[in-house]
Amino acid sequence: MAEPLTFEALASRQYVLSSAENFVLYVLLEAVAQGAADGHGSGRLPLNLGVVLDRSGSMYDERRLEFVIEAVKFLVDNLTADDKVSIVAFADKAQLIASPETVRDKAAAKRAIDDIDLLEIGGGTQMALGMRMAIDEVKKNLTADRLNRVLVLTDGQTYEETACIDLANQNREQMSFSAMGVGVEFNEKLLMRMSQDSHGKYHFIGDASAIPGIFEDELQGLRAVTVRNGRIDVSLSQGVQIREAFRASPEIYALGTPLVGDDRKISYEVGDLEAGVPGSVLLTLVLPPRRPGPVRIGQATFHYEVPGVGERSIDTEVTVEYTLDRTLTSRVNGRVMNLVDQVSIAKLQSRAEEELKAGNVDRATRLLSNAIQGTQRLGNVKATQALAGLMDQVKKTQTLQTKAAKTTLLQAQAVVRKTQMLDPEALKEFNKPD
Amino acid sequence: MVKCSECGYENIDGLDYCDGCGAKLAAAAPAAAPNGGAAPAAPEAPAETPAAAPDVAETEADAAPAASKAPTGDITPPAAPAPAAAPEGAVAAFKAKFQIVRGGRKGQEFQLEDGNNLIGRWDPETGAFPEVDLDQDDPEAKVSRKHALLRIESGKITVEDIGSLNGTYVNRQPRLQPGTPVELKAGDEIIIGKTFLKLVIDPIS
Repeated sequence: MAEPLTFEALASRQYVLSSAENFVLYVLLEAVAQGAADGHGSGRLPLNLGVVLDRSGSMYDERRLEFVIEAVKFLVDNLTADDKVSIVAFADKAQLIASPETVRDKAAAKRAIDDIDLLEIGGGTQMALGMRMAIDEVKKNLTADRLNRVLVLTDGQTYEETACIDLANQNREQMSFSAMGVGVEFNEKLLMRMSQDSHGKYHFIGDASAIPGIFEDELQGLRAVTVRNGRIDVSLSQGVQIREAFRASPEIYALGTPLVGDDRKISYEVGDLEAGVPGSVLLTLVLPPRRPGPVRIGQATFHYEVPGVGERSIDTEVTVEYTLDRTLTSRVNGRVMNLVDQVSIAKLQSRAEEELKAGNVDRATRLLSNAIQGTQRLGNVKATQALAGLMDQVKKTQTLQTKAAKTTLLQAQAVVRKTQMLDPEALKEFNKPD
Repeated sequence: MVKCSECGYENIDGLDYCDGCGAKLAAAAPAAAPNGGAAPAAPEAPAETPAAAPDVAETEADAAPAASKAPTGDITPPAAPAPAAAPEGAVAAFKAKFQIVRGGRKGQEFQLEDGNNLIGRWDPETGAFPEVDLDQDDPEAKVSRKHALLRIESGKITVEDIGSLNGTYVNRQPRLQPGTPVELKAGDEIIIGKTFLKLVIDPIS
C-alpha cells in the first residue's frame, strides 16, 4: 500500500558558513496527508461532537444568536447516521439542549435549537460549566474510530478561565477543542490556548454573519481528516541547539522554548491531519562552528495512526554542508524562507502587542511597520491591510481600548496566524534547484 | 555576525530577521570577513546570542497614554447625593476603597464613603455622578447608569445589585440577585460590566 502521507525535513540552506561562529539554520518539518481517494481508509470518520454555545445576554446583540441557530441547523443537516452530536447552551448555568439521541431526529434537534432563547439559564458567562457538560457527553460516545471534538462558541469573558484551560488540558488526549470567539469581548488568549493545546482550531468571528461559514469550515475539516495523532520526534546531533520552535501550519504559534534532554530528543504533537493540509513545525537551530564538510544535523520521525490500519512512522534526516564559499551559503530554500517570513511576521505582531501593553507605543509601531514590510514582500494583501489598520489604531488610540481598535487587533492576530499556503505554481518555482 | 542596517544589532549568521528591531536582514551573504581560508576552530560550546537588544531608542520615557477625553473628567462627584440610609454616629474605623484590577483604567482607585456609594456611569440626562463612576472604563456601556449600591454601615460593607442589565458578580460567583445585599470583606473582587474592582480596606491610624 502506498504511503498515506509524505514527511519532509527541509533546511533553509544546504550550505552553511564554516567560520569560528555559530550559524542559524531553519528547519521545516512537514507532514502532508494524502486524500483517502486511493482506497485505504474510509475517508470520512464518524464524528463525536459536543457543541457548546454561549447564551449570555450579549449574544442577543448583532443577531449573534440567530446566526448560531442557523449554523447549528446547518451542522445537524449535514450529519450522517454514524455521527454523535450533543448541543449545550451556557450562561450562568449550562443546559443540554439536545443529546445525541435527540439529534438523530433532525427535526427535533432543530426545534430544540430554535428554543435556545427560552432557556432559563441566566445571562452571565460560565463557559467552564458548558464545556464540562459537553465533555461528559462526548465521553459517553468515545471510541477510537471517531473524531472527538468539542466546539465552543462564546462572545464574552468567562469567569473561570483557568477551569476552561484545565478542562481542555485534562481531556486533550481524548478530544480536541475548537474555539470560536465572536465580537471583541472574549479573551482571545484563552481561546487560542485551549485550541492550540488540544490541536483544535481557533476562529475569530468579527461579524456574526460569518458564524455559519465557520461551522461549515469546521465540519469540512473534520470530514477531511485521514491521519490521526501525528507526532514529530526530533533527535539533534551533538552541539546543535534549538533556539525557537513554532507551529508553522495550518496555524502559526509558538511551541514554547523546548527543553532538550540529555538524549537530545524532543517531541512535537501535531494532532490530526486533514488531507492536503500540511501539519508543520519550524525549528530555528543554532549550529556550532565546524570545519568544511558534510554533517548530519539531526533526524526526524513522524509517528501517526491511519484509521482502520494502525500506527505507523516515517523517518527522515537533515544534513547540510559546511563551506567557506559565501556564494553557496547565500542560497536559500525559498519555501522554507517563505514560512520563516510568515512566522517572523506573526512574532513581530505579538511583540508589538506586548510593547503596546507596556506603554511603548514607539516600539510597537516600529515592530508593526517591519511586519508590514514583510507582508508586502510576501504579497499578502489581506495581512498587509490588517496590520496597516492595526497600526493606524495604535497611533490613534495608543492603547487599543476602543471597540474598533480591539477589532483590528483581533483581525490582525487571526490573519497573521493563518498560514498562507503557496499555490502549486509558486511551489514548483521554489522547489527548482538553483 | 550580521549587523542590522536599521538598528545596528549584531545577529548570528543565517538569521532572517533582526533580533533587535525585527527588520528583515539583508539577504546577501554576511559581510566577507577576512577568513583567510584557514580552517575554523573545532566545535566549542556555542555561546548563545547576547541578551538585551539595543532596540528602538527610548526617546520618551513614557508616552503618557492618559485617555481622559470622556465627558466626565472628574471622578469625585461635586455633591455626593448620599441618600438618607446612613445612620450618623456609626463611623467606621477604616477607610475603604475600590481599586480597578482589570479593565479600563487599571490601578484607578475610588474612595468609598460611609453610607451609600452608587456604582454606575455618569448620567448625561440628569447630570448625576455616581461615587464609583465607571464611565471611562466602559466604552461599550456594559455598566448600567445605576448599577449597584455599596453601603458602609456600622462597620459592615455590603454590595447590592440595583437592577443592572448585565449583572454584578462577587468573587466570580453566580450573578447577584437584584435587591439582595451581600456582605463584602477586604480583598473581595466585584465585577461590574467588564471592570474588575478589588475592595481594599485600610484601618484609620
